[in-house]
Amino acid sequence: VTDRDDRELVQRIAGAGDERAFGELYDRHTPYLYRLALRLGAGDEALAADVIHEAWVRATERLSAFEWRSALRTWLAGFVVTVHREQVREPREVTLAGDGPATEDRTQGATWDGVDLERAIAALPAGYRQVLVLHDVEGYTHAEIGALLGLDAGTSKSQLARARQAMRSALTAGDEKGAARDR
Amino acid sequence: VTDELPEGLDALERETRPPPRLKARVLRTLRERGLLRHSGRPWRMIGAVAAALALFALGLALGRSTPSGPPDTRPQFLLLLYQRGADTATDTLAQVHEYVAWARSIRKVNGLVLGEELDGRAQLVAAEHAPAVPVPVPAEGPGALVGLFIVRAGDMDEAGRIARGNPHLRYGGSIVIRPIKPT
Repeated sequence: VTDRDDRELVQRIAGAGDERAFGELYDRHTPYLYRLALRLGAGDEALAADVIHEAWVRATERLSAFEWRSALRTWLAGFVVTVHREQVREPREVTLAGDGPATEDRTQGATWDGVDLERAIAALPAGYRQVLVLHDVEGYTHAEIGALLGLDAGTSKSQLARARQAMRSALTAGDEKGAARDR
Repeated sequence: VTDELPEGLDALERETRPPPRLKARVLRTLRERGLLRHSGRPWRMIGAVAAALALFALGLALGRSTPSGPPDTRPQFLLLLYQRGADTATDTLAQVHEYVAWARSIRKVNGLVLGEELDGRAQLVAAEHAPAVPVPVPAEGPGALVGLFIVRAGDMDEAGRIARGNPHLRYGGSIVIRPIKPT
């Protein structure tokens, strides 16, 4: 996908309401956006569909104002994150009882498959999940996450550290349960 | 070290195919809000109409010819075919062949009573002495009612199995099944 292709489609949609151009843009970006919505919503397909629907409506309303300071996909993902937050009405920050520096990390050197990781992501509190998905899976910077979630970059960093810690605990617990079953 | 990136997160799936109906839903909302103008290809639309006419003419012929053998006393079920939008009118010739094959397969077991296409008009009669008032064909809910079949089946479950084989579902349509009361 090139920026130039996106620009041409956006011009046709914003200028003439070209439905075919919209269809092409939708097909190009929605699989990524839908995956992001699914992950943010812990796999809730109905919620993800609602989020994508509303995100596309809002983005299309504002297409003519898009200034191309970022990639179109990044801009669209911003709508997905915003709409998701509105729909689930989750707190921006989550604090778990017992949060604090871990004294032992039994996960070093361990590896997990995609299913383990997706399950552990889905089990995270929503605030942690948002930051971890955006940073560790999607590659956003803390500044970008801060802008998307209405946090300062420092809060995003601390949330990420806690999210990773919670995730490692969940993965380790999963391993221990599996081992107990095997015994 | 607890805030290291858990291994494998950056290699998770980045895309997931969204549900097919989501696109039609987004398009419908954007059309309703005047953000898109329908850009269906005229030749496709003409082809779709011609195909539909051929389909239902054949369904009619199949349905009205007298079946051989003893009278079939199994219950009858009305299959109402709904369609949302026009963006699913794709390979119309292939579509006709699929509908014909389906109708023939039902006909073989003496299951097809009637197959008809509905034209685009509708009138509402709201009270005993009220005039019939032209109204738009309702397009909300499952979409516009575009056709119907009457089939014979042992019960609702079997009618459901018959309906699931109808190619209309593969073209983004949906089917409502209504048992016909025996007279």
